[in-house]
Amino acid sequence: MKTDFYQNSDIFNNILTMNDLFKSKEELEKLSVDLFTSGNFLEKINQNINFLSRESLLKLLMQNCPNLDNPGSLEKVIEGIRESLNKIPIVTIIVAFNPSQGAVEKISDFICQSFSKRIVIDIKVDSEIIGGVKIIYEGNIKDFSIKRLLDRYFQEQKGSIQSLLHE
Amino acid sequence: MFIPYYLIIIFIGFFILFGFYIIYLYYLYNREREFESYKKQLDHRSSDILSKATNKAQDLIIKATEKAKDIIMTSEYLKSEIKEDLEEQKKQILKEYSDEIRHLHLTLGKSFEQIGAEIKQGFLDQAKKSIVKVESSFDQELEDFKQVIKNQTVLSQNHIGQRISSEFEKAEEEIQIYKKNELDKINFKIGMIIQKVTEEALKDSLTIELNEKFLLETLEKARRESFLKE
Repeated sequence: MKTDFYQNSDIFNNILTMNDLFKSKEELEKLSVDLFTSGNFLEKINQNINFLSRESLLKLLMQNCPNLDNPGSLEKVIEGIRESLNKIPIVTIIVAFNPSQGAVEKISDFICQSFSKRIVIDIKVDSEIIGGVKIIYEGNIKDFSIKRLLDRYFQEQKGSIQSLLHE
Repeated sequence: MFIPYYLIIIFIGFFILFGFYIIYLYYLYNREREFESYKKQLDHRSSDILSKATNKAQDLIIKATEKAKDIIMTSEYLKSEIKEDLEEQKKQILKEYSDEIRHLHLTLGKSFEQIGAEIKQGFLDQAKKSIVKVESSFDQELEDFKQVIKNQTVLSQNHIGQRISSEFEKAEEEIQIYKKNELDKINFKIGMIIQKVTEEALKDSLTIELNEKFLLETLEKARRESFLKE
């Protein structure tokens, strides 16, 4: 249940792509190591957490950790967050161009809404699809590419094209 | 001097035995002389017998030789007589045979010539008949052969004609199939080229903005049609 709670937390709001996921894991890893060194806890968060939402993380830690001075119990909560990150489903998106951040956000939004859950998208570029998108999720492929549309069109219109050629 | 009794007995015994021995030797001597005289007599008699036998054998040989000479002389005489007789008989037989042969030659010569002429004529007639028969048979066979060849030629011509026609049809059919296959290949290649050109043209004409717009529209459409939930 705790895992679900972490996933629904705002801390993951910034994580849209695989790159974001790697960055987040890295930050949590660093923080978890740093916990056992001497120093102020808040300073450690400021130093190690940049991509993830510091406020959201602090909120989570305060809600779930009874003693913030105890690095062991803090490390346990951070470990829980990391496990939650590993459980976020990944959907591969193949596009014909390198999308802008705005496009990535829109794509992610569409995907999350479509699947009604938090999803991390793994964007890959393949110019052969010309345009549109190919979505791969748990081994299933949904092809909405221009390449597929053209293939279908030329297959259907093969007879007409041939008759045009022989006129 | 006293001589023991037993020595006297031994002495006397010895003299007796010696006397017997002398007598025995004398007897042997006499027997040897008798044997020698018998041997001489025997030798003498045998030499007499041998000389008599030799003389008799010589007489016999002389007589036998004379007899043999007589026999040889007689046989020589007989042999010359027999030889003369045989020569005479041989001449006689030869003469008789030559006369007989001469007669036969004269009588049979004519007959042989006649028979030969008849046989020759017979052979000629037979040969003529055979030649005529062979000629007519050959003509008939030639005619038959010509007919067969003619029929076979017509049949072959028909067969070849049919075969050429069927081969032609087959070749025409194969050409049509080949043409269709090649045309299909060309059409397929042309279709591919047109598609490729279209794709390249689209790639060049689609800007990133247009592409993004199309992408979002596609996603929106997919979401509306619940494609992503399937």
